[in-house]
Amino acid sequence: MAGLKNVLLVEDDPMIREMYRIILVDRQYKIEMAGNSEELFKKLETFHPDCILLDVMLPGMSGLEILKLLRTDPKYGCQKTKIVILSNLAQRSVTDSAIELGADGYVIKSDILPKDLPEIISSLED
Amino acid sequence: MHQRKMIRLKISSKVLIYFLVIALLPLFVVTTLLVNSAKSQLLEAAKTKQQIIANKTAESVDNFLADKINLLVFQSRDYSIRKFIEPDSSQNLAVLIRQDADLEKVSLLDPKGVEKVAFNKQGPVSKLTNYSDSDAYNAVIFLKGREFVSSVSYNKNGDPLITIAVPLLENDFSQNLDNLSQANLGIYKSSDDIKGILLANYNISDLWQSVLSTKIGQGGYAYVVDGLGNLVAHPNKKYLATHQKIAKVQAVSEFINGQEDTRQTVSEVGLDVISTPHKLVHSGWAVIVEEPVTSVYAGVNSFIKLSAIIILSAAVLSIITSLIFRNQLLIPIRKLTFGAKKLGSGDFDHKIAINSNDELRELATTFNNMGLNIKQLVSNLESRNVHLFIEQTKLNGIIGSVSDGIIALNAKGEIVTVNPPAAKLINKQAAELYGKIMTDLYPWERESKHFAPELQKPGLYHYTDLVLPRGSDVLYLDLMVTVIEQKQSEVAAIISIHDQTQARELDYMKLDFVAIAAHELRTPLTVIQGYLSLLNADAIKQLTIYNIENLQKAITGTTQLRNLINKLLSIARIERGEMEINIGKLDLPKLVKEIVGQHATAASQKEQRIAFNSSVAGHVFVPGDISSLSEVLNNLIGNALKFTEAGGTVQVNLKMINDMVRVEVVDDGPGVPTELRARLFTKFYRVERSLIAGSRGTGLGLYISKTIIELHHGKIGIEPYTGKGSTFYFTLPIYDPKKHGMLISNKKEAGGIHGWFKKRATGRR
Repeated sequence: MAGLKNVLLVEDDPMIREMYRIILVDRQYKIEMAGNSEELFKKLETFHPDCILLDVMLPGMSGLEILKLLRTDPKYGCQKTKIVILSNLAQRSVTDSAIELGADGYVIKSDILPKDLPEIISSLED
Repeated sequence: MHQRKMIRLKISSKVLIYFLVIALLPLFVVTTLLVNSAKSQLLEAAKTKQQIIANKTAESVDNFLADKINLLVFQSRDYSIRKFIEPDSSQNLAVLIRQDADLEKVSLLDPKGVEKVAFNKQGPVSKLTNYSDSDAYNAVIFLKGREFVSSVSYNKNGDPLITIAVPLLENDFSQNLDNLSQANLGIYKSSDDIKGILLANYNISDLWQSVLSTKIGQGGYAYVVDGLGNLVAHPNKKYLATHQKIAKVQAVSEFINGQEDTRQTVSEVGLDVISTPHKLVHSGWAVIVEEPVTSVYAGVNSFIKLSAIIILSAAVLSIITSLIFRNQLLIPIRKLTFGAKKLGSGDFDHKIAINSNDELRELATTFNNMGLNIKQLVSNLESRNVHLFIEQTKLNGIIGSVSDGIIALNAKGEIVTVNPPAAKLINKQAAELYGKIMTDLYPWERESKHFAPELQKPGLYHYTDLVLPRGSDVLYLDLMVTVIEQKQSEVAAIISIHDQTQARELDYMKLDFVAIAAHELRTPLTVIQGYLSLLNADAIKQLTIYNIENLQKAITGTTQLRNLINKLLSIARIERGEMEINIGKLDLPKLVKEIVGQHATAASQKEQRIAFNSSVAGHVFVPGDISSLSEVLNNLIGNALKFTEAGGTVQVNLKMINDMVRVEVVDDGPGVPTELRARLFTKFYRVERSLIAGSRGTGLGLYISKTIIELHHGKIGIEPYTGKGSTFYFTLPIYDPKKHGMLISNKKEAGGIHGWFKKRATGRR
């Protein structure tokens, strides 16, 4: 498993966060986690992920707003970083916005099992 | 009434003017011409007459003077006279005065002008007079031996007097002495030849009487002037006495200047006169005959008077005739006018009776017929009006009572009818909107852009999903526009507005609720199925078989729950019109085979058989969305397996029919009863079915499948019920690069990502 090893998971629900952490740690990913935008931006000061798994429904700044900032503001160093939206929202308006703002993928959480995550991450490799 | 009077006045005065003009103008012209011709004739006659009279009068005066002068000249030749030989000269003078009644005094003057001897009617004059200062003496000297005739003077009785002086000269015997005239008085070389003067004073009353009594026409007269313009004789003696010098009188001055013909002049008292001067031979005097113009034309006056009487009579006759004619004309016209007024006030039964057998009666008949026709028309109109009123009332009632907004426009786009619901849409009262331009009041929008419904081209137009901003809200409206042929009526377009806002809001609330509920359900579902999947193999091995089965049931339940939630979301998407497919070039037999394979394990577990039969070897490409079509196939195959008993068979067949490809899913289950078929693919059916047989999860899937297939321009259906089993099928068009190439390239990028996650989402069953 070469390539995308440093994963940053942005998820406010601790149970889901834990669930994904377990599987990713098990598969030897280096994983960092954030529960909201503030934590995310703080993490980005010290951690440079290859891939960000980003929830939409977050307290404070939404996942889409975060996505926009990461893609447009160079100071986060994430303009080229792979970003996958990981959400249970499936409305067309949300998915379309995510693609428009530069997401590399959009995954409905309830449609996958934790074990599918490594496969999703590796599929992002160029 | 007033107006009628005015018209009558006008017509009658016109008629009067016409009659007067017709009757009087020729009469007047003829009379004028006649009068003028008569006048010129009279003038000519007067002139001729004047010339004759002037001639005759002058002749008589001339003869008178010639007689006197000749007699004096004759005496002057007498030797005794010339030489003052007495008593012969005195005797001769005495005889002279006795023989001539006109002669008042006769004298002999010596060359110095002193009287040597004199006689008057009484005899010799004893007191002799010195005439050396007299006009007569000086004139004779001045005239170089010629005779002199003096001006007229008057004695104390007022009788006119003249003096004639004849010089006494030596006889010229070279001349015939029998031919006596003033031209041959004698030899005159110088004033010394004048040996004396024979001076005679004449009373010319008789001559004057004859001259001055001359009457010409009515008011014509004659008078005499001398060569200097001094008045010699005039019928008016008083005038004579005060106005001796009348050279300034036009006739006189013109005479002095040499004019001698007859002409019109102005008399001394300012009257227009016709005057004729005639010069006298012996005295340089002139007789002037004058007649006032009025007198000349006096003969015409009677004619003018007569003409005036005729013209006046004609005028009176004209007026009377015109009055009669006017009445003849006006009475019928008045009847017609009255009739028209009656008609105007609605009395269509009024009849006009005109008995004259002419155009007026014809007019009256036409008029009466017209009244009848109008009555007919009016009664028709009235009945139609009543009908229209009833219809209008009905229509108003309908328009007023419907809940939809209704607006009628005229050809200019102005509102002619509007009901309260239509007015309420823009927070107005219906009454405020009449005559206003509809498009100004209703700013229609569609997809956030200004929208103008068709209002010109006749036809029926149906517009859905229109938006009308109202304050901070928006209204969602459907419009039905009927554009009418505009020539037929005032109304050009009728707009019926159906307010969809509430229905739409309810729908949205419902759909939003579904979306949010689905999201909220998904989160715990994610946790449950996630942690279930994390149970590691070691942990599972320690469970009893019974518990493993229980765990398996929990996992199956979560999968069903996830599918249900996804279906609900699909429904919500369809309802919102958000259902979209991402078309790609798809190998349908490959996909069908793959899906059939995915179901094979589950089927074998239920001891069911599932088989795929394709009549086509190799690829069959369709323009399709892989995830959506997978969902359809999963649905149909899943349903077939659910309704098939253990040991039964499900067959999936793929066939080519013309330019379509057909996929059938055939089962040998109990089949679908006919009464349920009609509603099988409707969303109502799913509600009912999911409530009754929710766990079996059928209806939703068919409704979603139908939507997906229709988005692919295909058909989905069920073959007629044969009593056993059922055959569901769908058809799809075969891929054609010309038709479908564009769709694919447009959606490529978005399709990639959606396809990517959906593939995984639906791939797991």
